[in-house]
Amino acid sequence: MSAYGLLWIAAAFTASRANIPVSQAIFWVGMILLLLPAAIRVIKPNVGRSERLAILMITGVALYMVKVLYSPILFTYLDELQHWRTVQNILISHHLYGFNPILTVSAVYPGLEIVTDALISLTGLTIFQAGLIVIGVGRLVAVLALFLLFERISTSSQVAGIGTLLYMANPHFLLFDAQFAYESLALPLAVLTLYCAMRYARLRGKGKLGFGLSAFGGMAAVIVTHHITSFVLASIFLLWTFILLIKIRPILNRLVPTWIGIFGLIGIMAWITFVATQAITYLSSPLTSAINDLIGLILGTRSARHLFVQTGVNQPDFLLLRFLAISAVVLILAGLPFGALKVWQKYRNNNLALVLTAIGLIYPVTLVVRYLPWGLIISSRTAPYIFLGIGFVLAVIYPNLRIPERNEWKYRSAFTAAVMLIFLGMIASGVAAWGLPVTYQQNSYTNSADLQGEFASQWVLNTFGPYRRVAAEQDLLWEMGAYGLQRSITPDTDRIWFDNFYSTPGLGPDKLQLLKSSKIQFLSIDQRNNSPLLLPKQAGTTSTGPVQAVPASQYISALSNIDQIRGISRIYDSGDIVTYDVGALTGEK
Amino acid sequence: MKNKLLDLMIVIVLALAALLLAFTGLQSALVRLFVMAPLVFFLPGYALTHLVFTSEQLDGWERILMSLGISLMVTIITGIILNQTPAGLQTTSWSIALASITLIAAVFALLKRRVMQAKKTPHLENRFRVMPAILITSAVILTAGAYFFARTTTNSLSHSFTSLWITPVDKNQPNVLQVGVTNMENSTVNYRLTVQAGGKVLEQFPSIPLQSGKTWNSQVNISGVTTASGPVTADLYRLDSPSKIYRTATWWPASP
Repeated sequence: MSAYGLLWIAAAFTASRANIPVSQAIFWVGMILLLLPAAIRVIKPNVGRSERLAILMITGVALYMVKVLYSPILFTYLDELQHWRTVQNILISHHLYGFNPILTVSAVYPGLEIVTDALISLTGLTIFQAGLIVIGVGRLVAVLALFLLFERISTSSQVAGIGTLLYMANPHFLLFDAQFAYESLALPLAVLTLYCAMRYARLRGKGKLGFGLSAFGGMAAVIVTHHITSFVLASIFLLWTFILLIKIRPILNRLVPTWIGIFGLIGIMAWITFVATQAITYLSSPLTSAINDLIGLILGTRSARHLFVQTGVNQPDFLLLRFLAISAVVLILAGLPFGALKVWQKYRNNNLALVLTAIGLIYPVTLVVRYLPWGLIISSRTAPYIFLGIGFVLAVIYPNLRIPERNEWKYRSAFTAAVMLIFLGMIASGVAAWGLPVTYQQNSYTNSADLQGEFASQWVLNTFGPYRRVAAEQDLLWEMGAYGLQRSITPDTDRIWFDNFYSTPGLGPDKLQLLKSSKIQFLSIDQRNNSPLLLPKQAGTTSTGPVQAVPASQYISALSNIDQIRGISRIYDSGDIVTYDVGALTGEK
Repeated sequence: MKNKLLDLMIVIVLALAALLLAFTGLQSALVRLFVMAPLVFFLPGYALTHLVFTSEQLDGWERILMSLGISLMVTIITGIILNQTPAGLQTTSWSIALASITLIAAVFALLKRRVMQAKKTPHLENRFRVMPAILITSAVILTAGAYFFARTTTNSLSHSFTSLWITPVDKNQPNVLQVGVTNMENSTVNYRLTVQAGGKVLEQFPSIPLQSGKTWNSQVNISGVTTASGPVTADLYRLDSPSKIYRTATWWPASP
């Protein structure tokens, strides 16, 4: 049934690309077909353990296939392009830590790219093909590890199955954590590390060594793969230690989470100190902004973020989305106290159960943070971690209810409906951010495949070689950096902004000076950004207030005189994308 | 009587096959994928699980998890170590490193198992059932069908385009330009190209029929063209729309 649901989803995405209105209805039908049979079977008692696990693995892979169907021929998310460049660097230089202009921090957390490079080097696959496989394998590891972790804690495959299913409902699981980016591999490794640590802590006598080595090895792998996941994992171990310490007298050989947590902290500090110093700047920026927003909100100098602002294109029906998302949140909030009570009643002797409960109970705080302008980013990024707790806490409710046998099917149906509503609501909030795929629009998160951008980028690479200084806007800049292997001049890396190119008409002396001071050799323009269809949707809210979209006429006129400027050669024209060689003016050859 | 060492022997053979393949340079993509991918994702972890875990500690599912997970960990850590070597991360170093880890672990695991005279080897449920096999096969076919459908329609619905470019052939020949056209319009298109400077036509290509996915290029000599006459301009037309310039590229000759 999951595969049948995928066919519907493939049809929905095709219809979306062809601008057929029923695409959204087809998408939701496909998601229900994909999820409902699995949910019914997993939640049912007296289902075999292997069957439950097999269903969950198939569901996990099927949900991953949704992302693959979303972008079946190219990586299109900006994050994916950034990590693509790191893989390219390794393939060319055969060494790590090469400069990545479109995400410098990616180069110093190379776990994902190491595995991808190994697969490419040994099999000859392309980066796209290898990347899909690596993330797919990570997905399998995540589902298996989560099920086995929950099962060991609860001693119930039913609780484990429900918990794993609910974890898959987290809004990042469908798309964001299925993309070719470091968090997508770090999360499965982190869950595996938790599982190994738990086994290590509970085993006595010989045989612990394997789990101990795996736990420390997993922690090390996470440290070099993703910064935030390593911080969260170390924090989980320290929280575990805290619960352990307040419950028992400290006995050194029982403090397994402590040693892993300390190892993790030392490893994180050492990695940042000696390899990944740019992670401090990279991570502190959104955090600082969020703190400033909070202070501003308290003092009344900043306004709260408006919820439910449309930001993607071709989004599903907005009222329906809102209903689903709110229903899911309400169900989770309502279920958490009951689940926490059940955990306390039945599993309080298991310290990891208490840790997961504590994590799940952070969820309401993340909702409040969403009111901060920068809070949305921070709150949404916590979802994959918070849902480790939410999944477990909600999963223990139904199997531990005392239900008369004649009413069992009613309770099971209600619980299944609740799980489905949570799933669909969380998917709605994830899909709402990006919308269904379309043919190219600016903002790669809804891009289906920008073949023109890929071709233009590779043309520059094939004609002029790599590492030329290129200026372009948004998607094309990332494509030039990834597919084109160029030295893209980006705001994050170079602190140079080319925004005024498009907000004022003409290419005047100030813009020429900016090109010269930035030593730009190629200036690429994507004229699809001029589409009036796009511009109204680009307005959004930032911490400084609403962003005004640049009117199409102003955008078009911004570079209207460039073809008349002596010395600037229009070397490439593919209709929408035009590349100029400005080296004669800037001195870059 | 089942050979209780069969699984580890298969692991050893596969690791050796991977090593051999890496050095023979066989190009068959399928063969490389099926032999090499397990070396990255499964074999090291499987061998190591049999070395460091007892058969009672892991059931079938746990062994799969640990095999996959430990293989990922081993690959990542191996990559960090290989980075410190002059060879770095490339085919030969990867194949030697991963195959060596797998072989050493498998051999020691094999010896350990013989010594311990393990009574059983862990295995998944090994009864073959027809219905699950049919269902799984159907699911795989449907999934593959969904993927190829999405891929095909994405290709056809993606914006088609034609690209035109103009660049010097190389630094040593600044008076020779290369002009090129690539057709990505999903159908054969007939183009016309005119190259001119200062109002004077340098080259005309009255008919360039080009299939979709193909590229045409030619060289144009611009000796005698100076910046005073403006840039060299290449105008591309579609023969089905002969009066409208479809693409334009320009090149400013170097100043004397």
